[in-house]
Amino acid sequence: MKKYFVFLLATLILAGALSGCSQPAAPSEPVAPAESAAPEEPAAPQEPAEEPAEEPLVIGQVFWGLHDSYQQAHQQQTAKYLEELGITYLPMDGQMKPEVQTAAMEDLIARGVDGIICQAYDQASMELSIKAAQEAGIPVVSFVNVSSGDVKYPSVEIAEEASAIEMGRIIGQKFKEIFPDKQVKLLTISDESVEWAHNQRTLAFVSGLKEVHPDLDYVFNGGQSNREVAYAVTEDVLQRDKDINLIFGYDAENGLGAIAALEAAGRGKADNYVALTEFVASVDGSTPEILEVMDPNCSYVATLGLRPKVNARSCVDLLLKLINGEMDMYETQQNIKVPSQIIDCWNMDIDSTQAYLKDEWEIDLDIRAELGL
Amino acid sequence: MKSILKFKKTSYQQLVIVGVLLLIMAILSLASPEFLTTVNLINVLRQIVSVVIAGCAVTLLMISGNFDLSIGSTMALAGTMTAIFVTQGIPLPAAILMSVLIGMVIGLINGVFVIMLNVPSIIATLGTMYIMKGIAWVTTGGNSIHLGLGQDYTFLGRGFLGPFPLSILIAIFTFLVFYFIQSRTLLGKYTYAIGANRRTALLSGINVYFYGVILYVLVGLLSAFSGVIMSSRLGVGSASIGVGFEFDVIVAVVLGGTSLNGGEGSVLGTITGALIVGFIANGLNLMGIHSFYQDIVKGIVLVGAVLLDLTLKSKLSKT
Repeated sequence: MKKYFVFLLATLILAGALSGCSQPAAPSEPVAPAESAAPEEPAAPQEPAEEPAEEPLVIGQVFWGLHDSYQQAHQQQTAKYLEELGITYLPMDGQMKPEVQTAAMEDLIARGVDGIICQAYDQASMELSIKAAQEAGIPVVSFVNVSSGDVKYPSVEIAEEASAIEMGRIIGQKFKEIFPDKQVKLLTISDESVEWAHNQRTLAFVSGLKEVHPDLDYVFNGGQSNREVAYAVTEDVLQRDKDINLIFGYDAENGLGAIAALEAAGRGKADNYVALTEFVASVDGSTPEILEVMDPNCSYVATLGLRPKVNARSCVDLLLKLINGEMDMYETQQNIKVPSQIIDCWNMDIDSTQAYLKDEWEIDLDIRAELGL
Repeated sequence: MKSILKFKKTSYQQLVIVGVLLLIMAILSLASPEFLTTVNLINVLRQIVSVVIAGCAVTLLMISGNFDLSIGSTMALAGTMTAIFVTQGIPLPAAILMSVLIGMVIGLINGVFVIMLNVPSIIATLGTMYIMKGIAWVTTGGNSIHLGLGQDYTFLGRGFLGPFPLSILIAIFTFLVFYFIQSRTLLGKYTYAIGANRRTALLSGINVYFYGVILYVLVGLLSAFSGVIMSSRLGVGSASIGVGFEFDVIVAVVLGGTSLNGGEGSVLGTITGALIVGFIANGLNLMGIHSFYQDIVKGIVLVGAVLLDLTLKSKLSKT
């Protein structure tokens, strides 16, 4: 045992000695900034930098959790854009764990990256990491989360709240048309612990809906970002309350879990986009949701489509401004707000939906073929 | 002769684990120039502090032939309770002490169920895991607690004592204490005896009930303390901390050569296991390898190391 202990100690001392001889990579020279982000419209494809720097820039990104289809699309769009710009990309999975996100941020700081994009799972702990990065001279752009004030940094915000309110209004109006004599009995499958999503999606949707249906009956609120949990929640609530006629899931997993449970119960049907027993809506705009929305026989009526391409490019462009010194890394007044796309079965047809998928998600999908139409 | 063989076998196994660690470090050093830097090595050590601290106690528990799946939940609950106590005006040292006491009570409950009432350890601690996680969510209302914690709250997890990160010093101290317990105390000796053959240990006059419960209390204590440090490191009290932590610890313990059947293992091996896991995660991050592939690599290293261990055991037992 002693020999082993000495051996392990010697190994660590050797590693420490060797590490003393190594230095972290020196920050690269800034490159020419890309075009500034166009938050209101999808960003036009950027031209690669004309004269790539000798030392390519390195940008790291800490994701909320790469198990999620939106996050994967965001990563792909960022990777594609940075490749065009000749910038090295280091994406890291936050795994929806604050401690993993903190470790990832530390790794990027140790790596000596030129800039970091991050989306916090827990904002307070992420802000400590952002502060550490800034103290190391590394600018940080936050995606979604806005500076709380204790630590200052610029953000790319998803202007989801306004879009979710609008989706609530649209669905409320259509509900009145299709079910004129019914009171809205709403089931929301949301997760209050993810405060920003719950507020900007679920509560915003409910407030838009309430403008049209002030007397709505708000049945239940529970769930996580998990299809199985959403399925079980829907199944259980339907057992208790068969009159549920509107279900809102705060992300794709929740909406898809709900529709699966409805279908298992013999519900979730529509006749040429006219829902028979209920509406289902969600947020994310992922392919499976869109297929459900575009299916004339399904009661999934709308999804709030995120825009991974615009979001990804906006984050990179904002970060490049910081790296190139065009904006202060502690700036909090010039955040970029990217509105979401409402995809519903009444105002968008299959062709325009396919165009959205191609442009934002890089997905070539033949919706008619997929649905057998 | 037997004891010589046993020593040879144990040393050989442990040297192999260190060999695996060295190999991984060499590969990662070649693959990423940033890997072998002082800043990065300190980062890795800080990242494995919680695993090392909780792992020291879990190693002894697993040597005794038992499991504890509730350590992640205990960690979350202790972290959130510390934050709650502080926001209610309780001084930080007292808040830490109270949270650690909560951890010890959880350990005591586990110990009573497993050791005294003979509930299988996996079932009993799985139940505690859910209960403690639920309590953590209820007490925080699903929110993370970060307001009103004060500047000194992060000192334990992020502060320095001279040039050394405090959390790393605490982990080293914990290791030394447990190394002493394992090799120089009756508790250590009895732990091996109970793990090797509980019935024989009982017939030999060892109070297997008392020592079994003590081990669970120690696991509760150190899991809670890990939670306090993690909460301090993150600057929040959050019920979402510690998800899957129990598996991180078990992987480090098993990689370090502790037998799942009990009777074998060492806290020193656990340190090596934690370093292997920490270096792999860090190195792959530095190389920009997608987390999905990282899981595959971690799985391969775990299974590979255990297979190597089994092969060596088999060969040595034939000689």
